[in-house]
Amino acid sequence: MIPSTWQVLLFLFKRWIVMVPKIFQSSRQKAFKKSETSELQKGLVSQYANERIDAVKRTIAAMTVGKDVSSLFPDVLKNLATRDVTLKKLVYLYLINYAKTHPDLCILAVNTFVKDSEEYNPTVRALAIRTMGCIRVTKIIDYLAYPLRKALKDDHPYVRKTAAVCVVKMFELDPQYCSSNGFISQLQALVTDPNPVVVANAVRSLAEIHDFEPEKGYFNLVYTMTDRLMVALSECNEWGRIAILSALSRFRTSDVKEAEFICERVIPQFQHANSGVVLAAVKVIMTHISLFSEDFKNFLYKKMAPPLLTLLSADPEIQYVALRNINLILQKQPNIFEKGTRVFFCKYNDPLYIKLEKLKIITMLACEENINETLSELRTYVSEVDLEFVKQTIKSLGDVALKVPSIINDCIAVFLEIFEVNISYMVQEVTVVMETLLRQYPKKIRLLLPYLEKVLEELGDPRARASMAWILGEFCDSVRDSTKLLSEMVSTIGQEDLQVQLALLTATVKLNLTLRNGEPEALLRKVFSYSTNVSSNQDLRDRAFMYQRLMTSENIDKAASIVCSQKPTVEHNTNLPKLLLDGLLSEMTTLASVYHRLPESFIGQGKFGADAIQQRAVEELNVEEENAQTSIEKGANVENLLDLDFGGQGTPTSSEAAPSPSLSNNVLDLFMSVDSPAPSNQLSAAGHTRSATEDLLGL
Amino acid sequence: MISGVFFFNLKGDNLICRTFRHDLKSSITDVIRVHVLSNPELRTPIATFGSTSYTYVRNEDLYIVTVAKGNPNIILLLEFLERLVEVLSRYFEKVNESTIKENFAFIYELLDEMIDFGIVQMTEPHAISRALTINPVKKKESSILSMKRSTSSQNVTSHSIDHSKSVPWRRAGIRYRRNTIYLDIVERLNLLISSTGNVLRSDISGSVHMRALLSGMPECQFGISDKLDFKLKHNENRQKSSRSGNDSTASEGITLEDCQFHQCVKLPEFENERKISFIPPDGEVELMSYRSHENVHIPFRIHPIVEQLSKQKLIYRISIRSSYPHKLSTSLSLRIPVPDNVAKASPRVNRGKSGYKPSENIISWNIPNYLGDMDLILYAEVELSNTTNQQHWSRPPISLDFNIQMFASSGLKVKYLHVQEPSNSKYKSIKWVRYSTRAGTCEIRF
Repeated sequence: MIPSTWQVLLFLFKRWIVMVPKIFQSSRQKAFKKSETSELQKGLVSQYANERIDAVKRTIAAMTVGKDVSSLFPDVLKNLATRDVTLKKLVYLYLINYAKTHPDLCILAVNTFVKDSEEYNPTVRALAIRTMGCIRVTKIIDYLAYPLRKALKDDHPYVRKTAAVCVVKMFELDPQYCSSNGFISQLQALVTDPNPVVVANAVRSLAEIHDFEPEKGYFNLVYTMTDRLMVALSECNEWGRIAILSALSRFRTSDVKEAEFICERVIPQFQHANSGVVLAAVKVIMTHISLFSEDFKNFLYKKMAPPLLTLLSADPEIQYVALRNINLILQKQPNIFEKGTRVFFCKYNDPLYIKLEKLKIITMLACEENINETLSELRTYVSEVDLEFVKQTIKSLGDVALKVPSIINDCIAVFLEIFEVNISYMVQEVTVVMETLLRQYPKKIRLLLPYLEKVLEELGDPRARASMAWILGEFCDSVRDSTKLLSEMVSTIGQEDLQVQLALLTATVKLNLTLRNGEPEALLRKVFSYSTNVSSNQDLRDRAFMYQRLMTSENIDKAASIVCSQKPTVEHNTNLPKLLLDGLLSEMTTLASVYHRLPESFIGQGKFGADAIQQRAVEELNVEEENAQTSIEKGANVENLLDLDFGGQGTPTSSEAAPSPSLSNNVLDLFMSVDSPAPSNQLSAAGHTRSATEDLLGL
Repeated sequence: MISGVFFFNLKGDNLICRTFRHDLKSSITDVIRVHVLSNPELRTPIATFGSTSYTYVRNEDLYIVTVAKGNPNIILLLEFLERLVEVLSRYFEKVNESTIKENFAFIYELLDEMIDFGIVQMTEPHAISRALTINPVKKKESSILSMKRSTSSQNVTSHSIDHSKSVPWRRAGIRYRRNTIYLDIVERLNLLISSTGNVLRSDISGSVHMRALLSGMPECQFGISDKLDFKLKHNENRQKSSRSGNDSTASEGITLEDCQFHQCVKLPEFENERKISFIPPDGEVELMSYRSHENVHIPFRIHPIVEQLSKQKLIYRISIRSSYPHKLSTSLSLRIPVPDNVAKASPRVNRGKSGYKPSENIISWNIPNYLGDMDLILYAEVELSNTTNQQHWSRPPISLDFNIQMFASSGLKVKYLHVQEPSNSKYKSIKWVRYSTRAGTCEIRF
């Protein structure tokens, strides 16, 4: 088999790619002979400072390419006692690199660190504190405690801000020691420091420590603190601003005055050049916005709209994150961009992932006012090259037509054009969309009639074939050749996918009930005999038996009224469930907002409270996003297969294959008169089906 | 936050590996190489496996990857990567594999100054340049940073003093013989025109680049012809002298959709009084960027007519009219896409040079010294060869590239630029302002 050979080759190739550098590395190591080491060694103990610097640099270069230079440790260490900052930094770099593998050796350097932390030069003091924290040996804590405590109270802000970060390092090593010896309370005191950079670092460190052990409440922002944060916000650099804004978005209050105060002071940050700052500011506002009056809400939305659009002129990577976040905000506030959809129109050279996001937003924004330009824009996308993009565009066209009924004719005209051009993947996608559209607008079938036969030849994709079967069954009285076309499809029923088989079954039943001229009866018998005798699938068999029972009952009219009943309208709703949406809005700027999944669902770091599980259940209802995420899940699977564990206890994400919409629709047709309203999602659809099945069998 | 920053070349060899946290295994570089960089299924620049997320950007022949655990602030990671490239490009002519390889130590030091324990500390090029001690190899000769470096590296002790001050982007005690400040207003015009000639989008993303060579701690203020600003002043005037409003001044300004400032600009002052005041960093920065989409002056009108005469023949008739003032001149180049299966294409033009480029499937048309108010036309007959697969041709849009000096498409003007030094009342400075309009993404569908 060709594919399997190819897969094996691919696998070998991947392995090879992994191996190659290792092979080179080992050969390189051999080549890196003693002579070189001794040469470096000579340089390291040279009496000239510049020779020593050069030697350390070369040692680091050797270290970077993967050579083992740990034997030089004592010689490098000798250079630590220098007053030259350049040399000191280089030696520290070397130390940090070997801190992981040779922790015991690093302890040797401890005395120098302690001495350095008393140095007059603040850079050296900060450097010592910073480097010391990077050495991951529990023993270091004893040496670190005293200098760190001093550094936290240092006169110089540069040292204090470095010390603030160092507290997290210490906390990671030994949380118990860190909290019981007052380091955390010292850190908490730094939040009110006069220097903005120190404040920012303290806030960041506290937030991180808080997330380690949320129940201890190390970082509970109170309103009185926000005043100081606000001052620091406008003074510190961009990364500090992001930190402070993130902290502010953790702040929860029910007092409208407090929230208003915060939001008003945050608004100027929209004008910052760093997109991280802008989005963080938006996040602060979004966390408080539900408290405000309509007027103030509108004012805030009006303020945030232009900066959000500005993010679209950034690099594609940032654009992508911005678009995903805009998507969330739009679900909360659909009319935030009054000026319409034009800014979201795709550029020809946009990467695919941007185009798909823009397309989603264009679809969301479609309404009566902008429908004409939306339609003509979507129409141009249909002729683009990328397969995936064209397919999505066709889907969007369908969604738009459901949303804005007035354009259904224009929309179908576009589809008919596609039928004319007759490119199979496009035709297939259109057929799938058509099924939904025809449910909503059954009268439009007559526009389609001339094409059906030609279209049927092009369909290979089971989804499209199932849709076609549904169309033929549903409109068997308007389609002249419906019997002929269906029997064509039935003739290959044995090779079809389950969803097509199910659709065919329903279609032939409908055909018999509607026409009742005896002609298609042979067809029905054929389908029944296949489904009940040949097929091993439970669903198909049970359903066939059910239909059979129904058809043999006395009152055929009753059966017809059950099977061919009036269909409820299709509800167009691609929005996330409200609970999930609110959860995601408070996760803006983070990875969760990009995936539109709550963090627990994809990082799985334990801690599943009752809330989390409930939210997960809600999230599973969200079928739309499931599809978008398959790529990630695939990635997760690959990881499991190759057994590459990198530390995280990643719980496998749930990846149930969602049943195709057309399938459940068909089943539901059956029970519409028995069981009422249209399900808005598939999970409940499955539930409905089951209960309704029981009802019917009891007939 | 950031667990590590990695540099890879296109082959997937690890060049730089700087981990800030200890939560990554040593196989991490292999994971990145196999699952992130050479994963054909990955379409976005973000990947998550288990609890680890990878974010990467590409620059020349380099991939720069950040790795983070849990649910990181993703926009911060991306913004950081962008800044990292920006800072590197301040030092090096080209940020590519060979420069990285020659500057291991420098880049490690740089990363250590930018990030501490995975927390981004600073990315301001000027501030960083003062904190660094290692001299990069192959640096940019003209770089203002390297100039400053040689003077500041002697007093390393002082560099951190101003690092954490309230003006972290400017060092005290800068001295120039002649105080000069340059403002360079560059507007990029984004244009999207539908096949029927409708302007679907026309907007400007402009930026104000500043090069400040000023002594001391000057305070600058500058004003632009922004409509809101005008209204504000206008109202004030009205209240003061109670004279009837003169509406012509109000209509003079342009409407800025949105503007963004460098961190040196005092944002609350802008929010309340529409005042752009700042203490400039030394050297070059992008002071401000803005968007505008009202009353955009589109410098060219283009009417493409492309007719498919038969299966083998296409006719292009493209006419352009320049609509900027007559005395300005520009160089314009057009890229006109043609199908893949072109057998022969012979464009004719009445100015400039044109030719068919088979490798890119385009007809190019370059017009140097294109004066204002001038009509030009390109006529081309394109013959197509017969191919077996009659693939659908997607008709990519025509794209433009141009650069017009002393012309601002949005109509923006600098109204004033004040430079003052609080400690020196006799402070003098020379100011230069320059405008230009360039092509952003200009696409004309046909």
